[in-house]
Amino acid sequence: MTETALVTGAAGHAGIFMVQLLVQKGYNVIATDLAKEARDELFQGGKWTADDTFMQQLCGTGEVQYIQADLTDKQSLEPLFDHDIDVVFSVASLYDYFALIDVLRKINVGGVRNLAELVLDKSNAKHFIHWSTCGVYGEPSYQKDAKGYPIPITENTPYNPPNSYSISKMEQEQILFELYKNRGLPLTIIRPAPIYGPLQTYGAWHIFHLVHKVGTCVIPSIYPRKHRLRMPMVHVEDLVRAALYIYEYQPKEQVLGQAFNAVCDEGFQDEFIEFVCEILGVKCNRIPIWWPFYKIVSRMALSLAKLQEGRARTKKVRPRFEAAMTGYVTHQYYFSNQKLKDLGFEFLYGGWRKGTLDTITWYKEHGWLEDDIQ
Amino acid sequence: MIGFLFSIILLIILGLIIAWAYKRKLRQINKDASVLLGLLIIGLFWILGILFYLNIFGADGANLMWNFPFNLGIATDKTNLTPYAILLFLSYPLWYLWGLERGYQIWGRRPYQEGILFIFRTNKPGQGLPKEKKME
Repeated sequence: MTETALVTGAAGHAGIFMVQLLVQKGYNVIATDLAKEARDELFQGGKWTADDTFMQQLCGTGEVQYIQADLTDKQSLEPLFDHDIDVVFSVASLYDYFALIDVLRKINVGGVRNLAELVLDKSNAKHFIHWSTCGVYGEPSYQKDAKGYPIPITENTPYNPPNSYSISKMEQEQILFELYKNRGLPLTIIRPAPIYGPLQTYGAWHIFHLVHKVGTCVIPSIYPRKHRLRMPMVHVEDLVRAALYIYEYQPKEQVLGQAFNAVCDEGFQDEFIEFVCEILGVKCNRIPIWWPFYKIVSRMALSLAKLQEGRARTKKVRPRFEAAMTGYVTHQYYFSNQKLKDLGFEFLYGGWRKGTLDTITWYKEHGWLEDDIQ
Repeated sequence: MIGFLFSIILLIILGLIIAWAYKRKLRQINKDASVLLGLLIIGLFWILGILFYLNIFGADGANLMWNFPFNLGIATDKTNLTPYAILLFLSYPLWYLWGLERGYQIWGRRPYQEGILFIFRTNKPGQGLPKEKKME
């Protein structure tokens, strides 16, 4: 019998890919998201999300039903549960580093609580797979190997969220784990590293866009090498595949009540940026830099980003990159994907090279990153 | 052009200006415009500088090449400075290119680039997003 999946945040980046994968695999899909105008207002025009035409095309296959709903309005969610739902892919959240904590809490914490409660009260869903973020760890104190290199953190690392968005995701997780323990919500949490892939305009997109727009690049090559910053990322296709893999995994007991990091194999920031420059045809220079000096310079970059964020807020526009994003150049983020691999999951984009090349090629082919080649 | 120091400063400034013009307009006319203009400018600087240095425009030309716009106290009549002069003349393209590259870094090289200034500017509403019509 065909199973039915509910996908929230279906018009967002990961949501679109989740819906497409489920359709490919023969699921009936109930896709939901806010109306386009409401999403644009929420993101203050700072993020591309699918419009109704796009969603109609996506849902044109017949296996997908698109129902507009608002997580913060419990009543609007109720029609979703007129269907017999087997699994919920809870993708929807306000992923916006520029948003104020109150707004983030209202949507990410209150909204997901509404959804989870309805799942418990009005459905027989076997699984509730929820999107969180690796950002909930912040920068932990890493254990070191014999040579002094950091060892990637596992899912058991305590919360230490560094920004408002990650705080809201932590609180979201806490509520869901509470519902798992007290009311038996069949929960699994996926913690993606920064997601990249076609159609994305928030997150890794900012790196590509920044390099593309500036047109020149200086790459700090940090010494001693043990301080080199990692580049945790996950391709959107791998992320949605991992979510479905977890749902289909047997025995269920092994994944219920668990969190899984979704991150591709290790890579370094300097090599990543160099690779991006190469694809985009941007001239870049490596500058060897001593770690303590790099920290000073990166803190200055963070201050500049905060200043720009303040200016943008005054002007009531979005900054070109949020201060929280510069956290990736000031802190070491290094996450283990071993737990997911131990389930037998295989990444299509194990490293970031192929995925990055494909993604940038997609942006260029669709004119999202311009060129002037005739 | 009069004076090695003055020429070098002028070449850097011209490099910067041409980088700005190249990004804004010249590249759309001819993608080799900055190099072609550079060849023209450097050729002009060489011709004028060498003519000055060889005292074609007056007896004081060589002295002016070394001591203009500031009197650096270089005595052209006592030492043979010609090898150094040749080196300086040969270095002209490098100064122009240096200015050009710095200009590209500041303003960008291609019409859609904004150079380092991109970081210091704020968006206009909706700016930075690709246009949805390009999804077609």
